[in-house]
Amino acid sequence: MTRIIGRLDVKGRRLIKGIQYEGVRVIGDALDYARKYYAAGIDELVYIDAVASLYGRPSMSQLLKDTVEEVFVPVTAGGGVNTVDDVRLLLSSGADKVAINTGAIRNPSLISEIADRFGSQCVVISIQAKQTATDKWEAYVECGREKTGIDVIEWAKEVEKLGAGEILLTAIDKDGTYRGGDIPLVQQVAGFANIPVIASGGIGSVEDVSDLIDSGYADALAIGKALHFERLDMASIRQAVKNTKRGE
Amino acid sequence: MSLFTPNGRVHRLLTRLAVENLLHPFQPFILGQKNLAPKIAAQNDIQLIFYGENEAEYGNPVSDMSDAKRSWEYFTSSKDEEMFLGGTSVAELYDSFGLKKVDIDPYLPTNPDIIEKTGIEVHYLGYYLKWHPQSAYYFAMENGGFQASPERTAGTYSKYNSIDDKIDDYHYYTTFIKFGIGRTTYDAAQEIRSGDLTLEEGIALAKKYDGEYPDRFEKEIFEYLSINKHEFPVASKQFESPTMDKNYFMALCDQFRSPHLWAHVGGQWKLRHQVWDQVYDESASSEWSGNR
Repeated sequence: MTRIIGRLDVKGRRLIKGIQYEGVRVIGDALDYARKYYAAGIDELVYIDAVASLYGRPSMSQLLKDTVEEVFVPVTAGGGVNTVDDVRLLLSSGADKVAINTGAIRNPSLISEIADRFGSQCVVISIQAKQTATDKWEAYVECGREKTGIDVIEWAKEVEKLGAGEILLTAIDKDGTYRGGDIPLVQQVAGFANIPVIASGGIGSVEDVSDLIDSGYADALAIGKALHFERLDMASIRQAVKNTKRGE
Repeated sequence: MSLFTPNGRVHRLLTRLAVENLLHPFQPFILGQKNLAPKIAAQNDIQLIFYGENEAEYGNPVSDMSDAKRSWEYFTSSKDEEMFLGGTSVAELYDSFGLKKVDIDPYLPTNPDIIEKTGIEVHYLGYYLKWHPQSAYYFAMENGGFQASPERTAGTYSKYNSIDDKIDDYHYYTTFIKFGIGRTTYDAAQEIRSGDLTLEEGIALAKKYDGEYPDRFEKEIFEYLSINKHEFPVASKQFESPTMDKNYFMALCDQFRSPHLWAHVGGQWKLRHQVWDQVYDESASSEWSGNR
């Protein structure tokens, strides 16, 4: 089954969206959108706190508590996760999984520590991939602002070894553009990964959905802007998934 | 359409002088930007000139915004001898730096008599239309295939505004030295005014990035600012150190740190007052409604 995940980037409790991680705008109340996607039959939700890394700590525990009161699909929470305690706070607030980018790049052993303590099933490594050449991507941190010099493919291999349970792979160049996903990027990572790869960034049409699955071999799709602005609805996404080679 | 390309060597010398005397690497660029349009208009019998946003957006007095028109005092002068370029008198540029009238003409303001006779008016578009860089980013993205910069601009968090000029990095670094506010403060202040950022996030960003030394184009900029004897046989003799390097540049910077802004503490320069010294509430974004 190909999971469809609603991606909600937030600042505080506000749902936000930019283009290529820039020019962020407020869309509305995050919880309203979470409810709406749950009612429409979404498989999972992911909250990414866009300012948590800047402030150096996760800040969405109340939003999570409020969300899981009403939304009964797995919820992943990310942003500003630097320690095992940060993970504990998010999980105890209702998150089923945590997404980690900046904290894991700064301290890769954090991945193993969390996996050992809480299990790999709750460790989603978020990778912000910026294309630097043909078939070459660099991992960025802090909302696509900071370069790391780390090759995305190498990093994806390492996080799997360290105990990550899933990879949330966002193409910075495609983010918020509706120009389609980064097929070669997703294909390369999904090609070797034995853990699920969630493709994110650029989805604006049902063709983009089927391309990422049929050509990119994505295990799941995280869709943000196209859902927020009702460019796509769950029924047409489901239909597109059903028509892929994998089906359903 | 008129395109004017300045003499690159003259522009380079004036830029170096502006750094040396004023710590203002952007001055020659600004002079061209401000002075050329009225001159070209006068030559071509054009009555109306539009510029973009008002300089008050970058800290000039807000009272400048009360009129659509730009004051002529800024760009008219009756006597060349009264003029300074890059902190150097025009007479000295002729006598000691080997420049001729034709070299500096593009940088000099229009004669006020010509302006009066022709009735040229200079207006700001920002007076009529809301100036909002983020909206321009969205428009360029959606209609022109624009791409955000692959890296944030040195000294700030932003990747989409004013990314067309390498000297910009040093312009904002020197504003940080001279005025205690760097590019992050300018960018964040504008985005807070526009509703794109909360005050708290702007302050956190300033704490993180303001005054960051811009090393990404350092080599190229210092080569540009070095006045060597082969390309500048006359002018190169006028500099204590014709070669610009980081040591020299930082020593220059130290001469331009205003004592009421900077303190030398434990061998380090530190701003006496920083916006992030005050306590702020990071959760305030719950009320944030954005720029719509």
